[in-house]
Amino acid sequence: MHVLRRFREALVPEGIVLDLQVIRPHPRVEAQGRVLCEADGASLFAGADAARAAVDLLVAERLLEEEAVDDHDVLKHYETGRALVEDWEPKARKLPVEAIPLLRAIERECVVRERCRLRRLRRAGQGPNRPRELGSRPARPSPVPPRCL
Amino acid sequence: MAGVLDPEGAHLAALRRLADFAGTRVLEVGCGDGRLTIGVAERAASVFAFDPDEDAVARARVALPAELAGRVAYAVAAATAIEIAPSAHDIVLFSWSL
Repeated sequence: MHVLRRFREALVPEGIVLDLQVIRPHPRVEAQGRVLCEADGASLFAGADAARAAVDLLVAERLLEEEAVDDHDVLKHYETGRALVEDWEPKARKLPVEAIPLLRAIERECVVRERCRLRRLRRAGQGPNRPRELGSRPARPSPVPPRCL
Repeated sequence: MAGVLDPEGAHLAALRRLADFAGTRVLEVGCGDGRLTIGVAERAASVFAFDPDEDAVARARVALPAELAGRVAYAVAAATAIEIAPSAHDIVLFSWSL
């Protein structure tokens, strides 16, 4: 059984699933507001796509009901470009090889910008009655624009 | 220096936009070092958070403010193996863990 099905059972009727995932575009490396390069996020997206498919399946089966989506940017800050390169060396996602010498030479702060998606889903399939609203707020469109550095 | 992830609090802000944690019983799957757990626990009635990364959970336990200790429980476990009581939580949070 997929873990999502297991943990759906951990919810009270009408309980909420919050699923946080990385989404496209590929992560971007920035310094002083300028995009320096785009990393290869394929390894991230493979897992995220599988998670999305698992969620979508339960939605299709009417075991979960999607209520809201929030897309937002998240930044990881590094003191220098060299620190960024060293942190990324063991990671599955990769920096473009041609950008590494440039990044190593940057002695000011660098950030990696990733786009993330939070989905709110409500446990369904337990009859028509909603005993009470749990932890919910009205759905609204993604309110967070990309941050300028 | 491994970098600092999300000092702006974008993830927690998104969580709070989509859910009101006040008084809820939260199950966090893949809590890592508890970066989101603390923010969730500030409003929740209780948080049970777990992750298979033993080192990360150890860091989470150290970082947990004393005032939240009564509301947060951490465990080292894999999502595929942990035993969870049915119908016991109001919110399940998957932090990149599906």
